[in-house]
Amino acid sequence: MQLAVYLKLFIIFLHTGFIATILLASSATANENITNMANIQELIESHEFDKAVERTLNNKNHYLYELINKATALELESHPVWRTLLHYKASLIHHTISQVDGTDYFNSQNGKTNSQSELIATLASFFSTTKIKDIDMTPQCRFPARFYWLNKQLNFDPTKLAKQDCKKFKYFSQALDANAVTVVFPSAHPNSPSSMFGHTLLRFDRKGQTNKTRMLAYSANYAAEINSTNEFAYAYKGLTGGFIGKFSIIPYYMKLREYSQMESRSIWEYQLNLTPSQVDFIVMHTFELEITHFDYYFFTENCSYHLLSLIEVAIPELKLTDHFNGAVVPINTIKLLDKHNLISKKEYYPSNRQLIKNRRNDMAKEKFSLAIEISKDTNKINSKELSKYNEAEQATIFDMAYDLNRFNKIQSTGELDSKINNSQRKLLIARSSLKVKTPSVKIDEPSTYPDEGHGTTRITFGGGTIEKSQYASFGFRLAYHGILDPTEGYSPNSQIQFFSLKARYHTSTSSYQLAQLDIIDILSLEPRDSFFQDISWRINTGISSTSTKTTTNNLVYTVNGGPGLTYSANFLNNTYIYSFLESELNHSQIYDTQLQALAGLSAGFLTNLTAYWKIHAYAKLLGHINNRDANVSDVYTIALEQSFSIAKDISVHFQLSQDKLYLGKVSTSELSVNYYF
Amino acid sequence: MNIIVKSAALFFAVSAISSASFAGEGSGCGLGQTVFKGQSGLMPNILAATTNSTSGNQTFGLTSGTLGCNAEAVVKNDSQREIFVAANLDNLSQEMAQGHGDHLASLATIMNVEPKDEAAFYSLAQNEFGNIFKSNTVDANHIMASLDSAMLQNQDLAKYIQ
Repeated sequence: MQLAVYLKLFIIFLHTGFIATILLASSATANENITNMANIQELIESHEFDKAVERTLNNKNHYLYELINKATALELESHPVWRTLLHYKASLIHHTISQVDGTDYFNSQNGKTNSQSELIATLASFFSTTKIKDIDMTPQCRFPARFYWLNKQLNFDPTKLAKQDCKKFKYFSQALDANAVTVVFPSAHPNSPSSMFGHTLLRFDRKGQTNKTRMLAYSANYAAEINSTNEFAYAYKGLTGGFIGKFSIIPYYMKLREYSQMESRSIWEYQLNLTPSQVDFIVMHTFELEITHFDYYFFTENCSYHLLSLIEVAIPELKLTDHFNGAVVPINTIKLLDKHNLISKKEYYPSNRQLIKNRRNDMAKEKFSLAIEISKDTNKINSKELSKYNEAEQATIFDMAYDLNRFNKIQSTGELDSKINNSQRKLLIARSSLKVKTPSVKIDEPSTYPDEGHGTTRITFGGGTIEKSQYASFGFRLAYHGILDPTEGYSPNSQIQFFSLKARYHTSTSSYQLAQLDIIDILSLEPRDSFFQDISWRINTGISSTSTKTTTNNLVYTVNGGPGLTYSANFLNNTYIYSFLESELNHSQIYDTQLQALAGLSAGFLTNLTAYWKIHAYAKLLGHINNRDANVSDVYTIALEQSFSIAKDISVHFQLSQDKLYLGKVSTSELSVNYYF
Repeated sequence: MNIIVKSAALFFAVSAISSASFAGEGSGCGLGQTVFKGQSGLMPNILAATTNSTSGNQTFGLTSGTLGCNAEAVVKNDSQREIFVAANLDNLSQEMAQGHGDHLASLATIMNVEPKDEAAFYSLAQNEFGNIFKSNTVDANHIMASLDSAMLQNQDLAKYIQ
């Protein structure tokens, strides 16, 4: 033990370079100094950085003292890079607070709320050669971005503070081999509601990477770690930060499988316009973040927010994350990057479903039917029907058959198991005997990229009549896309609306009225055909007014929804005909029974007559289940809605409807102007 | 406000009823093991809207001895091929049978096949497909071993097999 202490003392002497001074001083002072120095180093090695700093402030001989002074003089604690590296945000209570929630992320006990003590403690930690338990790294190696940046600011004297050899980080950065980064946006797919807002992740592009081999790149993905199987807990925790959010490093081919093959989501890749040193700095910070965690908030501190906070360290002056105060819709983070001219290249990667549809368009109908048959029963590879086709045609049929078979396998199991079974094997052996290339498929790239679509928040001004009473109307929708909104950049056959409010001002009575408040309103119209047999669905919940009367007594809160079938009409582009089974629960004071249960049918027609003109017509008929009173008749709605896109962010809607409700018939007509931002 | 709370409660109730069980299992670790869990249930779906929560961390788990399943989950170079093949077997097999494709090109990259030998590599994959996939049990290791021995027989490609 004694020996160890002396050894450490000796090392400290060498490091601090104050041997001469100490020799000249009186022996008493020297002893005091020696003890003090030893204590500081001991505290540092036991990772008690705050205490070590406290001691250092009384010991000008330690190099740390000099560094602290220098850093304080430069006000590094409020430097934008330091603040983004620590994810500090202004806070009312603490003045400043870090969004990182893993305590391992802070060297100082007060690091979460005190930028300066974290900075000083971090400087102290760099002197430690003791590894942090569990992660087997010294503090210097655990925080490569902090060390790199502070070294640049303070020019560490290598004889007094040695740069350590960090094997793990070296391995990490060599494996990533990044010379560019790409923000990847898996867009929404209508029948995969979890994808409706999209998602973003970051890909580290390697040197020499091509479009063919980009799948070998690594990607950083921020996601919540779900540890609850209870749905109520899931909802509650998700909204209140009850889940832990973590970055993970995943080969990009796994993400492609997940989005393109399993979830049928097309992917948009936005390469960023960053310098190699900015990319290196992001890699360093990715390493730092991957070890710790945040609290996950579904709407605010979500995947896209923290991806932005990762990119932000390279460009702190743009204050990217400060741009978002409320909910973060992933596509809006891309729009923000674009606004700052940070996007250098855009690429489209179609979903597997889209690829199959494109290939099918290049194929005669009988060949496609044959491919479906073979996909269901691979023994049909020997069928006579095939012999009338030449080798190239047979190859196309086999390729399609395998695509369909794999698609069905993934969809039916809900798992992306990559194993191939015996029938797939036989099919592929038959294909391999045909020595022809699969013709490359013409990919229908959407004309508008998702970042070029309308804004996700909407305000509406309009006017109309309801039962001959005239009104002015005002609407606000928090997010995201309605079926009548401009289609460009969005899916033409789905809507997802969160918090959509509509109020009326009746001119005759000079009174205000809450007409409607939809909390969630989702509609997915997924057309069926000979191969894709998706079920469409809709769900809506919110409050609506039953009449023109402005008392709150006639408000009804409703939950309704149901499954449906959609077919796409051949005679017009983007035209859908659908029918749904409807079920509805209503609660209101106006009912005798307070709670009403209804069930029925609806049918509709949606068409994009031109790129700028949409028509949506529908009818709904519902009967009461729990109230068979003769006085209570069925209810229905018929509506005709049209919309005209005037500009990317402006549309005009014209709606006519008749509702037969509990209290009688109500006819409404309304003209409104919508602005998206 | 009360009305909003009640509607929200109603909505949650309905979606809870309509939901199937939620796949919240961990990914598990193990060489080349990949776990993708589908998610069902409306509530996870809707609330996962911006999170990608269930398909993020839990869908992919792999380890290669000292790495994986921990902080520095990057794949070791020497097991990169094995993991790539195991994770993409369905796509890769198809492209081997076709004699071209992105996965096959990526495999060539992992195996350091030089551009001048790529064409030979692609045709070998297609020509030898029947031999490589002869057995009923086609796992990644088996396929790679068969591919290796086929390449050893080829004068252009033998040099890529150590």
